[in-house]
Amino acid sequence: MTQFVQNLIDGLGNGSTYALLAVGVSMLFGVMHLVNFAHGELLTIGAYVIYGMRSNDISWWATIPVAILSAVMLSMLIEFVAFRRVRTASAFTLLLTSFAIEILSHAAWRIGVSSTPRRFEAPDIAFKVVEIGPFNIEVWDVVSIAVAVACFIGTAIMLRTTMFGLSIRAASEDFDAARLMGVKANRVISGAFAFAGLLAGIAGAIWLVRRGQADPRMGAEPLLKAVIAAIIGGLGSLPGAVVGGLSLGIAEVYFRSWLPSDLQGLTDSFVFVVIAILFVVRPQGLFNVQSAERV
Amino acid sequence: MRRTSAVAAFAALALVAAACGGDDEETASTEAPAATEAPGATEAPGATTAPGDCVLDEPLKIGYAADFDLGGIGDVPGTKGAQFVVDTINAAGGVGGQQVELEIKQISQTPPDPAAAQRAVQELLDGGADILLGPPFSDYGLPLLEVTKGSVPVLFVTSTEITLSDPSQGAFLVSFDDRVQASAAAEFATKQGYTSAVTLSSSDIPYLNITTAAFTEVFTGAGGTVDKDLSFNLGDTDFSAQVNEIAAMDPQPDAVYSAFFLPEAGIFLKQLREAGVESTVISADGFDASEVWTVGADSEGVFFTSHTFPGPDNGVQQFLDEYEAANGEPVGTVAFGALGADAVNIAVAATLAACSTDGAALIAAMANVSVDTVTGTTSYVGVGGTPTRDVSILTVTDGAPALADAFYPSVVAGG
Amino acid sequence: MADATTATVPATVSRPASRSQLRSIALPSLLANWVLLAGLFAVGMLYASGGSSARDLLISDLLINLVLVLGFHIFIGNTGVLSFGHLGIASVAAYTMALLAVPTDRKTVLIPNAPWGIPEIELSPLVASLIGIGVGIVVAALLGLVAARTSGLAATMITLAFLSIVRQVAENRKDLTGGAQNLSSVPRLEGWSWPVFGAFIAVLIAVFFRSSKTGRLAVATREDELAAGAMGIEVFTPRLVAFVVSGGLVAFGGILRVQSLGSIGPSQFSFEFTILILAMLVVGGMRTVTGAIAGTVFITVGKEVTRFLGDGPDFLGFTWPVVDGLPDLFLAGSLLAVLLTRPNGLLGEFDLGGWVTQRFRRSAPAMPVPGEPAADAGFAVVAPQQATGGELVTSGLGVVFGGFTAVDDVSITVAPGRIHGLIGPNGAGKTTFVNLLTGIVEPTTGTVRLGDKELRGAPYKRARDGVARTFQNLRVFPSLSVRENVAVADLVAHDHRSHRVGVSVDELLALSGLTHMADRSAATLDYGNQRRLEIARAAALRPDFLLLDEPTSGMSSSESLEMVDHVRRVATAIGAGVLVIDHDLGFITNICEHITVLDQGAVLAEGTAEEIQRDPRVIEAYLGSGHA
Repeated sequence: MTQFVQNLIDGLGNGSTYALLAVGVSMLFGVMHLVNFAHGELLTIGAYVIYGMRSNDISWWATIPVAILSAVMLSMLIEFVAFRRVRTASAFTLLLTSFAIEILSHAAWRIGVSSTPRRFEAPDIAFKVVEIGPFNIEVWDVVSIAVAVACFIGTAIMLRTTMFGLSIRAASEDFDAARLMGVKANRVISGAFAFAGLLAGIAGAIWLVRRGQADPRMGAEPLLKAVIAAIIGGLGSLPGAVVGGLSLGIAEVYFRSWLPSDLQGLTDSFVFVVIAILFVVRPQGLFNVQSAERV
Repeated sequence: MRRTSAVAAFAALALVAAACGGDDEETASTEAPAATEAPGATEAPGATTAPGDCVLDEPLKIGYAADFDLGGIGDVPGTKGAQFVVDTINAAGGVGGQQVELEIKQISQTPPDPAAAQRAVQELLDGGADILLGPPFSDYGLPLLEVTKGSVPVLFVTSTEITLSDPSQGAFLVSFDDRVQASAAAEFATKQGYTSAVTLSSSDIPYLNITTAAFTEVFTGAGGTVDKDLSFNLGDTDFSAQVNEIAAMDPQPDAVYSAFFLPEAGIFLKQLREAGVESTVISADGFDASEVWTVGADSEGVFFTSHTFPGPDNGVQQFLDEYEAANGEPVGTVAFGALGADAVNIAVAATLAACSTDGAALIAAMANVSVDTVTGTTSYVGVGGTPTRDVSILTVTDGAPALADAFYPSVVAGG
Repeated sequence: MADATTATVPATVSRPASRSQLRSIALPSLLANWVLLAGLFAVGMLYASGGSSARDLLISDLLINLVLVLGFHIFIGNTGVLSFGHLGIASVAAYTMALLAVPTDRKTVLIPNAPWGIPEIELSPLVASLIGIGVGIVVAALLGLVAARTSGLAATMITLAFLSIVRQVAENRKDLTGGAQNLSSVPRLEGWSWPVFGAFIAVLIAVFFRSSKTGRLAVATREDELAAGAMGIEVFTPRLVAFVVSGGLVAFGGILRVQSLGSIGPSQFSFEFTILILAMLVVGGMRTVTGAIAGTVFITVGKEVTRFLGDGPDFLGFTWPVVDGLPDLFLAGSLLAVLLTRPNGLLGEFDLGGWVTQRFRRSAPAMPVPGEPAADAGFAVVAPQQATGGELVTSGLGVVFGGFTAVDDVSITVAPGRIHGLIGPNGAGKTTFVNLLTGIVEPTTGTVRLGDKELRGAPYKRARDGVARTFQNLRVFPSLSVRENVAVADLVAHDHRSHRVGVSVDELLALSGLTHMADRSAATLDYGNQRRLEIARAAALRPDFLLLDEPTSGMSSSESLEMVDHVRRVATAIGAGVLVIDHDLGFITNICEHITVLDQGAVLAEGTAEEIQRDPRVIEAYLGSGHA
């Protein structure tokens, strides 16, 4: 039982990062049917910003907001330079465009900095553990969960109360109808990218404080997890993305502690098999997208 | 020339050792014992007499097929070290009366493209490369060997993969392989009186599971127990599941063995110590490649196997100092730049032993190469593609690596 | 009920245009692309003869890439569904080949504990490759059964999952595959002969698949899944076949690649490599064989040039700087540039074969087309046919969407060969009614019958049973030619409507005044012509009933009048009954003998045009109570 609860806490800690990324991925899918594989690159820029500032001995507290800001800026830049031009293109084109940006980012860091990793040391708080009863609670897990929850609440409030949130929701329901009702497409999409970039920046900060390393291809792995999380939750559904991210985080921890060791290498495969079965059983329900096109 | 240096001295030493091997590949193997006189010599008294014995018709051309992507961990310092020692040798007059040529070609791309790597290797061969220096990992290493097809020797500079050690294909490691270093780690752990251990392995790359398997084999063979083999993936940033599992063990294991490296290893160490686990962490040469001591206090007291360490018996410190003096920046890592230098020294030794730049002759000559290189003695005599050399056990003290022990394991896993 | 006179006309009168067309499309395309390939190969040989033998390797690598890219093209290009899983198939096939072909003495070293007696087996590379391809085809069929059932991103994600699973299993089944440690000593290909053979075969397969019946049906589903269904085209089978054929070709390409490298590992057929192959496909133009060839050459050569430059050569009298990762930059940059400026690839829809064919057609003066109109593109007249079959009857048809009754208990009867109007104000449920009738929406209550047969199930089944429709918001197959739009429906008719006498594709085009633009892509047609094309396409299905959903929507009144004539002409020519849905009372009363009025989902009135025009309830519903 202790182990069970301990795993749950660990899983929620990991899952909150996935969920923050997944909400951004899902939001972009909602407004423009884009599965954005370039989203992970927002973590990478954050890491290099932190590296750059930390190696000049700038305090952690100053680096984190700058890293988050850089993620927001890059997200908007990517939208402006690339996705704006292919907004009405097929999901296929959008997906490949995001891959092209991802590879471009990897190459740019590799050429601009180096393929050898750059390191920065982690602050002490990142690994602090407090013992509460039988549990080892990592302070950073608590911080991650708290920040993530604050972000989710903030997102929910933003979506319900602000004009921008309303536009996003309308656009996710039916973009053409939303435009007819006066929603400005460019502004909504650019705003969605900025917001998704903000969440990615925050997720990145949480993650990078522990990772302590910047390297060109670091963004790919967490992004893949976030995409999986968003798919589990139903692309386009923001609460779904949160649930998907948290359940993926928890599932990973449980698989790791319960699977026999010779099967542990197959953890991802188990997750994928579950997803594939879900898709076959209810492809529409999972996607949560208006599939009945107007005829 | 300001760089009349230890490197040149070692290069010269190589010549001595090699010259003893004789010119004739047929008779070379019988003379092999003569080559073993070199070990232990710290100065090179014969350095001035040896080089003249062999005069080459054409310059020795070395091609370096370098992986600057994932393998950059080894090949970035490796190429620097190789280039430096080639320059040094040339400044001192070259080899066999000729200047040594070094051509470096990148073979790594994203997405990984072994076919492009094969073309780069073919270009090196067509450019007349007599000896190739190869990348750390078999994903490029094996396709490379398919191109050379045993026509020239390939020295895998910073690789410890056993599949890249195969003299029948002209494939040689510059240092020991993973089984050797993991066996040494296990033997060291046993020597410390440890009787229980946990391993952390990953199926992502062979390095991360061949080492743990070998460690387990030798450690249990010596009477210890490996209670758990926990798994992880490259890219993981949270090890609390594994750490909690270790923390929950009673009694806690004496040692935790894994060949992981940064950033994963750094996160693991911090989480492990925060969880109050005092077990000794033992690792492999990836700790040197990724400079684990940069992690800070939590890396204090870890042990890891490495290829060398600066000491009175070798020229590593001198090499590091001279490299930095010449280039204005350190080569990086303890061993990997020096291994690049070693590879060139071995190549030169084989060339002088064969007194030829013919591929077949060079491969045959490798069998008697026993040479004092920058990092110590490297000998291929009677051992095939993996040279016998001591495994240095390093530890991190006061934020810097220090030598704890150095020996060749008495038992090597897998025979 | 069936009219006796039609029985005397043998069904074979309607010549299977598809077969002859297949030859006429496939052969020029095959020859043209083969000539292109041969030309490129000749250039390659010339290049290779002038330098390092690394150039030989480049050419075989390029040819093997081409096999893989064309393999991807067959599925992705023709169905429009993105698959990430194909290299997983290649991986399984190549491992099969390697495990069977690696010499036993090597296997006892590398994988001594492999199951199924694999260490003792040593087959010749050719036999092992054939078995590998066979296994690849089986795996493709199994994966296809899952992937072809879904579409869009679901299929993409399932195939991605498959790719990851293959890799993880290969990494973890160390006893079988050697794990992440690559398996070496795979017998190597020597020389160019196999890659050359592979590339030519791949072009052959790709060209013939594209012109085959399955290929054309698959393309129709790519263009518009819904419209394809309404034309009697089932989505699943053509997609599955495309998946298996392309899986087989990719398996072949994977085996070639592994034999060219001489070793195999789990990371070789990675997600990243999939992206590389997709980049080659997309950059050139994923829909045509010529595009696939162009993209493969462009990316492969471009990466090779940047690899050369990245090593810092002395070139063009200038020492280039050493740049780490230059080929990656080229790949990403060119892919991004093409996607942003030419999303359909550098060549778009261009295919050398199609181009040559068109040139040939234009230059050949005597190309007799029945009823070829004069330059003014008039409408030909085709001899009328008798209507056959029974009535189209809906009884009690209704549907409820979450508490809202969109269509309520509608029973109508459309007589064979007659033009029946269905009219109602906006929101009356007309389109929903058509969707119920054609199976796009499942009814909550009621049934649909055609003659003695109850219509049920998916839209494609009902279309095959004799109900063809058009769409309110125009759903032609946009990038197909006008002729092909009609010909695809004709193809379905040959298989499923052969008991009806058809009007040939050329006659239908002539009837619709589209002959002179038959080779244009449908998307380039103006509104009225697209409408007529949609009707011609529906007519080519040889339906018992044509359902026209607002055929004059967005047209001026004079255009509408023309449309009235046109609908009559087509209906008479194919001997079909017509159900016209419209909100324009004038148009409907002009064209229809019998009219049903729908209001708020239910039948409001029914009768002849005159009766309806006089009915006060209709007037009220139409003009509001103020006018009553």
